[in-house]
Amino acid sequence: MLPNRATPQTRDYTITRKKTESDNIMSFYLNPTTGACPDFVPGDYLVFTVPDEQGVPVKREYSISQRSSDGLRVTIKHETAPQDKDVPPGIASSYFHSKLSEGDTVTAYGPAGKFALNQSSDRPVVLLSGGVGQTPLLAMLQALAAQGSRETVFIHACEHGGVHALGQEVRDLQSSFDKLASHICYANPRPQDGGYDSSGFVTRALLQQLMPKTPAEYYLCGPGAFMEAMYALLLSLGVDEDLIYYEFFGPATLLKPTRSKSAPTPQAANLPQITFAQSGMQVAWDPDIPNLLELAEEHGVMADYSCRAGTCDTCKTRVTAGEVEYPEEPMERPGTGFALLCCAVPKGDVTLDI
Amino acid sequence: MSDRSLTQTDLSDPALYDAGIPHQVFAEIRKQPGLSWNPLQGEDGFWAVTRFEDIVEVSRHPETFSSATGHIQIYTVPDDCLEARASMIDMDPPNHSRLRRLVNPGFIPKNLRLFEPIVRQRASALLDDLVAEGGGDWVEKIAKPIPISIICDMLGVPEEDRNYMIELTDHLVAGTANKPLDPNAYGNTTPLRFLPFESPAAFALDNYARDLGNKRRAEPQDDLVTKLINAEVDGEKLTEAEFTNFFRLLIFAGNETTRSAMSNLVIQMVNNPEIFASIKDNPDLIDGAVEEIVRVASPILYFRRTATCDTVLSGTPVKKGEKVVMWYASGNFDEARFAAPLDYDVTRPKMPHIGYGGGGVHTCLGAGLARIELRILLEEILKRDMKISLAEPPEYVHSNFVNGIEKLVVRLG
Repeated sequence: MLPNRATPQTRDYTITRKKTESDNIMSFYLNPTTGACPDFVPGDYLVFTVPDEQGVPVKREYSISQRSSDGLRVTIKHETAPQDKDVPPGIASSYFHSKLSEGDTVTAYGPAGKFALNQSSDRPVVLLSGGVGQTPLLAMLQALAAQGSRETVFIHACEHGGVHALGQEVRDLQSSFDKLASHICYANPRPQDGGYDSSGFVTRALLQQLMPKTPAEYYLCGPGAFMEAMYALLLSLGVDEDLIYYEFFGPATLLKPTRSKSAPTPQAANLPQITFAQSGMQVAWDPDIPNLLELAEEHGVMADYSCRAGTCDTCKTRVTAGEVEYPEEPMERPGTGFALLCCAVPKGDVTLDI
Repeated sequence: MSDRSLTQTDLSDPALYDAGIPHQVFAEIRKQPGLSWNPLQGEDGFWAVTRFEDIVEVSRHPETFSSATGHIQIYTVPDDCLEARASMIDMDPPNHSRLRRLVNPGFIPKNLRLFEPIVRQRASALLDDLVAEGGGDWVEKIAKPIPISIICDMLGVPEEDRNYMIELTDHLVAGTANKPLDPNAYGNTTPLRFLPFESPAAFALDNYARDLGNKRRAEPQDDLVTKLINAEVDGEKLTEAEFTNFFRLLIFAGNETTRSAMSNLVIQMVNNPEIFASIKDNPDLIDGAVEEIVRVASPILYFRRTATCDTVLSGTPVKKGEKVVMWYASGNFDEARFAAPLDYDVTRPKMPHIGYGGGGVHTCLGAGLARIELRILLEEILKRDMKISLAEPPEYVHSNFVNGIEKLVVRLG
């Protein structure tokens, strides 16, 4: 029987162990300074309060990735400053990685969360994660392994072996939990990488091949664009949306994706292919969608917008390949090489710089 | 000054709007060439921009016609007070764009569609109650509760606090409340000039927002308040004032304006029963009906900009620092744009009106949400075959800024 969640409260925790998991991911094992480790539901997180560089407290949620004899484990990716943008590195992840050492104390509220493993079901389970989004799913995987009875598929996508954390942990579980199948997908494997099952993106065909034969519960966690793509693929494979559970990592899209399961899947072969270059995504144009802005939004790519009527230029985006046209004329057409997404539709395949 | 064409009527007089939009007054001003100057007692007057095309021109050029310089309402407000009050609508790009980006994801069509079932559920329940009672005050029973409940759902304001939100936003608009507020109401200690609408209710809303923000900091939820308090703009969190100003803007804008449109819907239904009978037979007309409601309602009468340099608008020289007031309540009835502008005509060719603003970066964030709320309310009214008549003339809000309706008693059957 899995434990129920302890009443969430603010506690001080001592860091009993700090462990490097990959080039940019570290785990921190935490024990309350007084009392026992609170019980949690797999999927729960703790809300940490840490000081920023000026000492002003900021809050960040980190999922509990495991409970061990060393305490509760949180596994944190260091959000470094992006190379092409003038944005500082993540405040809280930098604090954890650079400032905190074993023996130090941190304050956190919790456990809390809504993204929880359904403990009363005996359906098969698919745990589908992108990047450090795997942390709540690892806690779920351990609970499933401890219980031992449910068919479980663990699918994890990340950039390459250098940023792949906790791979050994999953392999170890596989040896003791015979109902577990795991699949590791590297987007861009390095020459020295081994231990992965496929390269490139998680595709529809791959999901189809890995998914259990009987209706399963799907738990998704990862970056927004990954989640939206996976959600759409699962619906297109006939998965009941009530059986898809998810949690966003990083900047959350406020609400859940809504493409209904009955929506026809556009026949990709005959339709223009739209590439969102910065988001690393290619989708087929959907003639039922009025413009490229809404197509982007449907797939979780958030372009800036204001007027949505061709009057403000906020959604002006560089077109790096292909051409667009304007069924509804904007107030002024943007210059060559640009599109006003809110009024534009593709004229053949198009690559957009978002 | 002497060569300026003057408005014959003071457009800033709230009494001018006591019986709705003064169409005749605006039609006269639109006939004048160029812009007309509206003098004010005791402070600088303003240019009245009343024609559709001129309003669009001002809206599209924030670099010349600024929201950040000066106030966005008619009256002059000292700079220190402006700064304390500023929300996204009081800014120009790029500051405006940074804040708008934070809330945009919640208002994209695919996310707004999620609210359709809940809007329908609330509209149905409220209409059923009104039908059972044989009528009542449409504002109180229908037009107030639907929009506030939806914006509160989005923000994460708990159910039990929604009447309090209505009470506070009512007080924000001068005259909307039954009686003027005591300056120390809600424990206010802030000098009124620092408060939006110079209302202690703004102080109360700020306090409320701060408390709710603290709760969400301790226990995050899937709502807009949680998103705003966690949001980072260029690596920095919103300051407390930025957050509370944002909350106040969203509560007010998601509430008062749609309320006006919903009340105007009833007035149009009473005046044009045959049109609404035809919509019932031809649901394709509903979208046009909704656009027309917002056009004729023009829930916000005007917004002001301030010239950042000497310029020329509509052939009239405008000097740096002068107030430029866009009267949506006039532009939406501009004969040059809309044939028979006073007619409620759901078959008009699809042509943007300026009920959501004159285009450009400040276009109403909630336009998509308002369309959904109005469409569903209209569908549910038509489904029930409600025969609506007015028991007494509408009572308008005493305000030169919102085209609000205070009370609208209807009889059903």
